[in-house]
Amino acid sequence: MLITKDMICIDADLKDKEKIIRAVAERMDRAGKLADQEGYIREVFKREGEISTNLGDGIAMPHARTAHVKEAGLVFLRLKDEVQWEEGSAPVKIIFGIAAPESGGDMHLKILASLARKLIYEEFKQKLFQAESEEELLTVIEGATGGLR
Amino acid sequence: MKLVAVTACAAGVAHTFMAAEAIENAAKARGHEIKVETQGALGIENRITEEDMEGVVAAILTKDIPIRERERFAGVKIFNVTSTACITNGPKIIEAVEQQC
Repeated sequence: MLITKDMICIDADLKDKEKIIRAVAERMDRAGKLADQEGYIREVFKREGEISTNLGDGIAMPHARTAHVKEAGLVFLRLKDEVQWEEGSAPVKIIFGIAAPESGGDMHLKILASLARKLIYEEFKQKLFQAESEEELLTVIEGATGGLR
Repeated sequence: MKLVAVTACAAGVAHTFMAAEAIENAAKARGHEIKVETQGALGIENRITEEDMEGVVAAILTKDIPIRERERFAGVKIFNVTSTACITNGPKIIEAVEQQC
């Protein structure tokens, strides 16, 4: 599964970007998605250095496609309090962490692509902000991607 | 107007597809015809063919990373934009295309 209930948290108490990315990596690792947790974290920060993954509207999508990932994973964190993603950019409240393997896993990459496409729609974003439980969020994400396997 | 666009980004899992969706919506909202190819982690999808290029006046290409098979767009006006600009400012890009074509 790309994402399970254990990879979702709707009131994560994390105060800065570093802690958020580490929390994403920890959940990925617990779900068996990573070959090398620290390696994945390094790649995510490298990607952040290339392009901000702050999409505006309170959502950030830190991600990396790297050999440190065994199979594709998605971690969803909704923060208790907004966090400044980087200097001068809008604060974020919702984190979509993505891990993608260097090769293979085409099905999962397709799902991630369809999820990324959904993220430009206001209605979908509202659902992410409003969902009241991890179960509800799983349903929202599943609905958006047409299944998670 | 008949347009094409190609989106790509370094990781090829997020910006490529958000940008594709956003630029397609922005163009269609203004009544233009558009085909958007993605060059992401899954390779080239929704490939723009020679046939597709008939009657096309402009190509919107993201410049995050080099676009593959760029020679297909010789002869039409090219707009180089970032994937982020497509996502956050799609309508502005289409407006610029309208003004310059």
